[in-house]
Amino acid sequence: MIRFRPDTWWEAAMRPFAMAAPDANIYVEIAAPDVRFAVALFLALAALLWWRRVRWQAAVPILFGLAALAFIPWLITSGNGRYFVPILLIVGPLVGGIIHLLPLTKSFRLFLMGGTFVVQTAVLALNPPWGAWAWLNWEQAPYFHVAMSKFAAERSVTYITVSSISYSLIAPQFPADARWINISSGGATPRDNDWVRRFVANSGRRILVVPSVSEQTLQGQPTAEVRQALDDLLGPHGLALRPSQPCEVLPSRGLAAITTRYSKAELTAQTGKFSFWLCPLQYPVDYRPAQDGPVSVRVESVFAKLEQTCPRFFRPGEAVTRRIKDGGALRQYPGSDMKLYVLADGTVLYKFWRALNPVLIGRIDEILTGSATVQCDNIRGRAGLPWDREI
Amino acid sequence: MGRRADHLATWVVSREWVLIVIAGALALGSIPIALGHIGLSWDGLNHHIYLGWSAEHNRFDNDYLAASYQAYTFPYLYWPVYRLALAGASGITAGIVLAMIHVMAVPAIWLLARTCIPGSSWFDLTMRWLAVALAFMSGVVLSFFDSTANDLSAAIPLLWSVALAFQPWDAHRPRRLRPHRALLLSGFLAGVSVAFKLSNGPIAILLPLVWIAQPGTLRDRLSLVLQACVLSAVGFAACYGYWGVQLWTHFGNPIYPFYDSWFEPVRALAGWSR
Repeated sequence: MIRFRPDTWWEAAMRPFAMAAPDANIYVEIAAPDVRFAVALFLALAALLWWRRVRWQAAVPILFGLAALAFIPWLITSGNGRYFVPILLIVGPLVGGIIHLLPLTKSFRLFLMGGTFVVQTAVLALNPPWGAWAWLNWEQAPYFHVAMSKFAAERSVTYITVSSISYSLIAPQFPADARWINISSGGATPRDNDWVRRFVANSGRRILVVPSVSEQTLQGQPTAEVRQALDDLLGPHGLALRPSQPCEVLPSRGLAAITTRYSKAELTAQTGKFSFWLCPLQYPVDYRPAQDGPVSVRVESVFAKLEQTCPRFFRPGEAVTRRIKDGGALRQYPGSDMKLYVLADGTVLYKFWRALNPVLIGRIDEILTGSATVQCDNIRGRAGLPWDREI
Repeated sequence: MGRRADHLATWVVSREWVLIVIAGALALGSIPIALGHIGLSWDGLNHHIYLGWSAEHNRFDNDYLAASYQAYTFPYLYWPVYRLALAGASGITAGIVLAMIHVMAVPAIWLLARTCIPGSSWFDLTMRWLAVALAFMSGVVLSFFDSTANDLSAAIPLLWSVALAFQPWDAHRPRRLRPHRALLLSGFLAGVSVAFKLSNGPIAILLPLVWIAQPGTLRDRLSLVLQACVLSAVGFAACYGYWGVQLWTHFGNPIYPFYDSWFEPVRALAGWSR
């Protein structure tokens, strides 16, 4: 995952200043502007300029060195602020320590320290961190409401989830002898897909657990389109919804709270619309994807050429080609949050997840002949420092 | 008046760590109370509660990837939030309990502040308290007081490790905390922090640079670094060992699913198969 790793030396060197920008996805997913590192650098520069007059204490420059050096392994490995928490805390005493040793009056040093605190507080007040991560608020018990299933009385039940969020937080509310698997995972190691296959094969009664889609519900049950979409997710694992059996509907105030987080009145009104579907599954089934024929060699060549051009963003071997609805094809690169599209009309585009729109690269022929290509150093939505970026 | 103020400053300094922990507990514990809840994030829905569950009840024989691959990260720090959730606690109660766990970071930050800002005057005292307060004025850090995430609690041993590594320069260090002892404890806690969260590793590997910067002969310092590194390994093994053995037993990789191919020869050598 290179989401927060700098693309250039300049971006790496400027990270302490970039962290002060009030944008999300600079060094962590949320907007968490932090002026303290920039302040620490300016103060350290001031201390160096007053080298002879500073009342040096060994601990302060060593702590500064530790914090500065920590940026190197951090930026090499992730650049993610959640993995930099110790340094995010240490910078407080560091700033205080540098100010304390400056050859200034006590009043002015207190002014500098208080000023830094006030400025950082003001920055946070303008970008409050509360609710930044939350999908829903845990207010009263239970932590996440879901009604109990009739399957809970049965033994040897395997609950299968297919959504990218596993919703495993409801699992402890079910009987402890139930088995759980998220089949949208797998593939991190070459052995995992086989383990998923064996787990599914050796399961008892198989029940799909999936959050309902309120707009795609018919008398509480998934519509035909939703059933088809679920079968497309289940099929590669030899699973399918049992056509003759309805899904059990488990009302969930927890799910409702996700969509109505900002309005208690709405939560009350909408609660009945949100539920988990528990759908009996059949196994094994012979799955044949309802897709067009294989992707043409020319389209695959476009993907290969672009992967060769920008391996950092389109890592060879990371993505598989999938058909999209217009008859074109898509490769998705989760490690770099990128997508490559080759549309049915021959247009080739890429999209970085933070960009508003896909970016046109060119047409198939232009890419194969080399007359059009991706500017690897100018990925829209990603390239440059926060104040330079275009979305 | 001046004498009385000095007397009060001396009184505060002599009880400073207790006072700052109380102040920290009040300030940080008030966040979930003021919010009236804590948040459940994508990760909260996906794996925080499940991990606490699997910390208490071994789920290896029942489940596979139940919380995707996050199901195999070190689970024990999520046990408190799982217990609170299943016990029927409100979000505020859970938030206060988690905040009190996070308060363990406060004295470590204060120790560092005392090392960098020594002195017992009102000026020194104010600078130190502002430094500790400034430490927590991070959007990322504060966001964890409205969350079930363990990033802050996993950072606590590393903070203590850093604070102890700087103890030899602390003018107010208690006599019983000898530099040698402080550095060995620093080493142990560095290992614990990596066990808590592998992503602490890239910061923890820098600590030998601090250990070797201590006053003393080069020979003594090298010996100290070696001992601290050994204790880091001990701390890691003591903390991560049980979970690592579980992962090895079930997946043939103690840090599954990371670096799986690296363990291929070890699996072959040990005759591991599944």
